[in-house]
Amino acid sequence: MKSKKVFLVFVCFLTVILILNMLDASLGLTPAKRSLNFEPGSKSVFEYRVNTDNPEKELILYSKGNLSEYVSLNKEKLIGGGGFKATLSLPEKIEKPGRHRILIGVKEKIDKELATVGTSVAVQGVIYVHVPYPGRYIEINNFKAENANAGEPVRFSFELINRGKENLTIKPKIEVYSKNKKEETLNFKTRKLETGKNIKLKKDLQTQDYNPGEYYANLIVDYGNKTKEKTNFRLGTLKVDILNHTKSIKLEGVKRFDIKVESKWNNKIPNLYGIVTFYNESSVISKIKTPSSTIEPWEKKQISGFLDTKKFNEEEYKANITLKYSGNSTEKMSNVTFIKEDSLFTNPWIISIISAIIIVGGALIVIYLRKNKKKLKKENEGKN
Amino acid sequence: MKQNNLLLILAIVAVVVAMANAFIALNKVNSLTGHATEEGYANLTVSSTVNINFSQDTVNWGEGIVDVGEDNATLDTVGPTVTGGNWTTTGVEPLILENIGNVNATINMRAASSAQDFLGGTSPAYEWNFTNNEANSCTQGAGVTLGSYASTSTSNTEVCAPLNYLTGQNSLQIDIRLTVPYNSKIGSLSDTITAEATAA
Repeated sequence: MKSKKVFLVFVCFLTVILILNMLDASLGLTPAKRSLNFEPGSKSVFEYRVNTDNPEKELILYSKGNLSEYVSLNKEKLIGGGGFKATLSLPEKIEKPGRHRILIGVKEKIDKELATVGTSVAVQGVIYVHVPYPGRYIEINNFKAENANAGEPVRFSFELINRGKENLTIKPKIEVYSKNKKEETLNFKTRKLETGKNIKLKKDLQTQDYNPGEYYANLIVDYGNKTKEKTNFRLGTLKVDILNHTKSIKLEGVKRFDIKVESKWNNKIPNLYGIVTFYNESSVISKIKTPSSTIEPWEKKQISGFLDTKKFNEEEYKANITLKYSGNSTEKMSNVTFIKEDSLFTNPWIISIISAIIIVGGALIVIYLRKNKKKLKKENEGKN
Repeated sequence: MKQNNLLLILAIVAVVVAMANAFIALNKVNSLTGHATEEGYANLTVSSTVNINFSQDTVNWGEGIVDVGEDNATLDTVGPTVTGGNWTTTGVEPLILENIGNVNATINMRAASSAQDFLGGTSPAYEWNFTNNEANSCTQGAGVTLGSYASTSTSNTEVCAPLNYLTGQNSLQIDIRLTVPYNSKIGSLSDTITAEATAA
């Protein structure tokens, strides 16, 4: 303990400075991504540019990752940015088929002579090398369908890449489903796709005969073998659903009433607001209106209004919740319970704890008084 | 009367000059942009770039000591707070890392030193806590739990997989918490936190 105090006094004289100091650090590498198909013995030169906000900063260049042993850089470092070249000299054979990732990186050199050391930022671009699979292999990329409103066309788009060693004849089709019922099949032309090549395709689904709702589509590509991918899409209708709302309100001044809503429309809906009317058996008690707001396509959000609870008693009331938007409305009847504000003396836990304290306290007082009485008695007997 | 006539003539000349000017200017504008009668192509290539920036790059608690009788002091950028010591909280803010490129980036982080190497003493702690500075910026990586403090690591820790680049959702907050023992190293203590961004 003594040594601790001595140490603390010592520390008082030698102030401690704690600094996590990061010099302003912005670093960029362009391009971020490259992609090429493996060709035995091929040589590719990639040009890169480095940007930094510090013109005096020393930057170290490097490569790492799978196949990085085949990369050579024409510079080891840069000062304050600039350009460099990465040469990729691929071997005659790469055993493992598939996608290989090489990282081309640049990092700030930390100045170790500074009393406080700055942060180092590193950025890494990627070179993907695709080594073809033996035989036939089709890769599907970015199969997607755009949501639309019922009656409007839904656009499907995707990319196919021949990652195999064989040139292929492909025949894609898209099957459209609602739940598990097949609605329609969109067929594409039969096409040739050479090894290493890609093709981007698109097709519109006409939805005049479709109901609003959730759908999914399977893309099936027949290339001798078959490959398949799934995507979901929605057809909208100009409707905002009431998902939930405040179910109980405490009787105390002005309280908030929340309504959780969900748009089923594929466009923004401006000027959405809610009107809530509270009834008892005989008459309207109160009516509130929420502020207007905009709801984004398919968005779930909460809108709120405020009501004065003075007019309500501790009981259940009927509530008619109406949403108004773009000339349409959604209505829901529900019940809302008004409850009294919790009081300390109505909470059973608090009552139990207070009772326990009173009982224990009372018992202690009784014990103390008895002991005191006996003590006084003994003292009196001693005096006598 | 003579003066009035002169003014009238000047006004007419001014209006004519202004109209001529407007006519010439509109003709020039038309020749630069709209009213095209032939079809053409605007051909350009946009390069991808991976680019990150520490927009808040310093956590500096200044000088201080552990309070007499305390085993340690805790310095936290959340708040910010200092307990058990007299370091300042003025100007102390968490680090902010932004993806300012045009591709999503996987973010790995590492500290240069362990808590022991950085602070020394008995049971020091050197922790970080990653949160979205802007909603939906960072998809939690394999190495961390967003919103929870964890000990820093000197090896690469995957924080975001990825950190988004879209404006308004491309910013990561890094809070730092140090537990400085009463018998820590003395003097100016510092460390380096490295952010490594890889195009995703």
